[in-house]
Amino acid sequence: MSFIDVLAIYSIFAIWGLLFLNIVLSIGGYIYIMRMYRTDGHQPILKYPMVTVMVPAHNESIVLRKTMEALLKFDYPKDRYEIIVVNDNSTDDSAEVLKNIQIKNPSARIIIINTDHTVGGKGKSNALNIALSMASGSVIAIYDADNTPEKQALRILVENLMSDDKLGAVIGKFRTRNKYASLLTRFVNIETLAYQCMNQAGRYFFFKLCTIPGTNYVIRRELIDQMGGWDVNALAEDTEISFRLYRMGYYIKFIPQAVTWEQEPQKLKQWFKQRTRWVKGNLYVLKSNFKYAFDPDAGIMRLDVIYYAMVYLLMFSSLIFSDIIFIIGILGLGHVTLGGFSSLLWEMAILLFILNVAITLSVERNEFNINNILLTFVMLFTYAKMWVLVVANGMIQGIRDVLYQKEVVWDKTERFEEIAEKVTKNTKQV
Amino acid sequence: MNCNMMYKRILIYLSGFLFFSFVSIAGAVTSFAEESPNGDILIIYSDNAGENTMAAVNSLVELLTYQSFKVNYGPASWSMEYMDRFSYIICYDLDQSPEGFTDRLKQYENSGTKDGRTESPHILFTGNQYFKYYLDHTKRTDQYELLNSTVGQLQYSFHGLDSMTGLVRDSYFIFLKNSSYKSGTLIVNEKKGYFCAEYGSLTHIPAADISNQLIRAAMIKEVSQWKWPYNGSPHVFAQYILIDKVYPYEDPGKLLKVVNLLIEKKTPFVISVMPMYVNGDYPSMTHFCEVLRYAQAGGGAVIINTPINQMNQLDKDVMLDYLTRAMVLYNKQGVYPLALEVPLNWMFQKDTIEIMSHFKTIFSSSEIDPYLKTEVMSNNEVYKDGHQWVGASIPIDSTGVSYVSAYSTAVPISLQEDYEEIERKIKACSDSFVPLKSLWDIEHSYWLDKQLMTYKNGDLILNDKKMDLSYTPAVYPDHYNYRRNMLQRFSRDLTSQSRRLVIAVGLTSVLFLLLILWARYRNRRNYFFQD
Repeated sequence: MSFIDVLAIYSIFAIWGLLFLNIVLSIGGYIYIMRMYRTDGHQPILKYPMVTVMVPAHNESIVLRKTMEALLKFDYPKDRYEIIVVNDNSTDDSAEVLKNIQIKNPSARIIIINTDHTVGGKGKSNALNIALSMASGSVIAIYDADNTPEKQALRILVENLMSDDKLGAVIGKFRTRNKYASLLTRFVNIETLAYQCMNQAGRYFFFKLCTIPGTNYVIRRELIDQMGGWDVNALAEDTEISFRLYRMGYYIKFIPQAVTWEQEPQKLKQWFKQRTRWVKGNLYVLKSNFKYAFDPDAGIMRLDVIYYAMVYLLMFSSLIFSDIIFIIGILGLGHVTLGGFSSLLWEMAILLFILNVAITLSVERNEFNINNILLTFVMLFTYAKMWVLVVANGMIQGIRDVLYQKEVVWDKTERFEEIAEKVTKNTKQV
Repeated sequence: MNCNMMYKRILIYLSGFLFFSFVSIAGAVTSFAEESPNGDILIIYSDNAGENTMAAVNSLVELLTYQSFKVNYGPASWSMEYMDRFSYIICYDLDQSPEGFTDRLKQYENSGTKDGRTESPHILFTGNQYFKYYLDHTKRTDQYELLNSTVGQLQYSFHGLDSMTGLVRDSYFIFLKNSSYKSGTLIVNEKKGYFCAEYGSLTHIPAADISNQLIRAAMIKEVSQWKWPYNGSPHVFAQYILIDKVYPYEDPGKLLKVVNLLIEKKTPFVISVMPMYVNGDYPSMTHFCEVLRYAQAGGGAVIINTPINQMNQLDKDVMLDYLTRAMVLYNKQGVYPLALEVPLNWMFQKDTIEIMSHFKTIFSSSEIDPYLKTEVMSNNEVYKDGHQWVGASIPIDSTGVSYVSAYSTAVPISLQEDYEEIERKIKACSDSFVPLKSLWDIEHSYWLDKQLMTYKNGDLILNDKKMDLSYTPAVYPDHYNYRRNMLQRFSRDLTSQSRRLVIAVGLTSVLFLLLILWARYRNRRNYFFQD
């Protein structure tokens, strides 16, 4: 058996294994979401707790106005929530924008914390820790500065959190606000929908496992305090917190009715930077938590560690190997000599991948259409390949950071002024 | 001063230009001269030659290559220009000629030794139609006799032994009335003609169909004689007993029995093994190689077959890589193949010629590589590599023993045959007038990616190390771990899994489509109708 045969066998089993795992998760996610959509997502509670909505913002003046408008429109009792915006060492006019919003909304409880480069500018975790020190709520809600949550989102999240004492956090769904901006954002839109149905809803359906997505979630204040705040070394602070919650014996719930709309990177460079940061963050979390994969006391969280390991090690390596086999074959440098190996295996994998994504789109309103199906097909040969590059880049950077003992730096995603916003502004000027 | 300088510069530039122009022109002329045909023999065939004629010409070229002749060949209209470069021309079964060709040929016939040609012209005609036309055209109608019959009986004796008989067909036959040399008998209409006759610079062989084995053998013997510039007969080349295409997992007992027979009779022999690339340490392979080592030590030589080509577009690097792997595998077991056995058509393709160039000694089998697309060539390009050729013997009788000593031949013996049949063939070879020879008596060499082998004066040097050719029995482990058929198991598993997978994918796809339809219905009911 040649070396290429060994690589081919490894890739076949890894890719098909992960494919079937994802199919099972997708079906679970589908059932869960369809079941949830029979309700409006609300849970009756007697008393609404005090909520602190925390918004870390670094040079976000382009999107902040829209975000604050959405946060102020929450149908959550007005006297039961406050908004803390950490204007984290911004060099744009964020402070001025926030000040104006504060002046225009005197009845709302808006706290603005402006930090300089001494205190702030050290990443999202640090900004959240600063906001936490000022928070008065027993429940903490986190929204990124580019988010426009729907008005019922916070109430649904808090109601669900309060309905079960074992719930440490409740997460909502995020949608792409600028999905028509570029081909890239269309891909991201499909990816996020598929991810949330497959990985969040699916894992929750089978194992009550979810990962906090970094925005549009609520968490009990007492748990954050017990953890000692957010880990400032973690670039993927959301994943880190999720693992910690599970280790504390709590679980996280996914509620698809609590929706926020967020701006995704429109340009490849920004996307690449953002995803590399996520990969580095997730690898850091995986490295820190891998020991729990073999610890029976870690409970259900072990499955999540194994799942992350499978994605970043098994899937990544198998995709690299299958690409190498493909290139070697094209160059005529070698061939797979396995008898049962045929292109049919790859074709069936492609069919399943597309159908798998299709069912995750079908549960969403206006997302299941021929354009998105065609885009899914194109994604497989473009976007998915870029994922391999992102992981490779993230790994290289991670290793470099460890070797040169580099300090963790938050490489913020650049924001874009959206066309709709421009039109509004122009109209106002006229 | 300035003007002087300018003139000097112009003069230098002009001289430089003229020098480079001269060098370029000289180079171009040299390269043209190199490309122009210039060899030992020119074979001329009809301009409109069909596939059969081309196959016959190729076959003739192949036989002449075994005799180490540099051969050029082409249609009549192309050949006219180059006749004077050759002392030996074969007009192979011409049925028509382009305008001026016959006059040109006559002019060539009349020419003596010319510049660049050391011998007087020799023309060999095979077939009858064009030879008759040539003689008529050159006003020598009285020098031949025409026999109007389409069938003749050939009687030919090789080295004075019992003559062999066969039928010859043509539209009619002509025979030269006068000749300085005659050989063989061709009886037409009960009149005795010859198989080959020479008169002056003309030689005639009335039979041209070399797909007939007797004609083929007789013709190559006569061509060899025709090309021999001295009195007497040309050199006698030996024949080799070749146990052909032995697969490593064939019955080693039978191979050993044949090997023992040959060793007992002190008969030299060659075993042509099929290449193996993996599992060289399997007990069956060890056993097989033990027999080969025993054969090597007993006077038998081992050669290797080319990997079986299944590439539509042959990749010489892949082929060489496989060959290297096979060589390494055999060498590890103490078996040292001395030469390469190739399919017949490998000498008509550039890539295969390059593969062969790695070996000094080449055995050419009678098999054709069906995947190989041969190229139209105008010369036997493989000649330049100076191989030692051993061609397949021309089987005239059931033993396949060689009747031709014009070149080295191999008499193939298959292990699939009955032992008695093998014994009969070996006896026939031993009794043959063509002597048997051992491959160990001549020098060999090859070079591959990881190996350089030379065999000279009884020493086999592989990668600068002298190899021990004495026989040592192999040691077998009591319980060998076969890693049994890992590849096949994986392949089989994959095949059966693929079938299951198709079913599973089909069912999953149906399930997905149903789920999609259900979700679409729910979405429409929840949003669309309510909206």
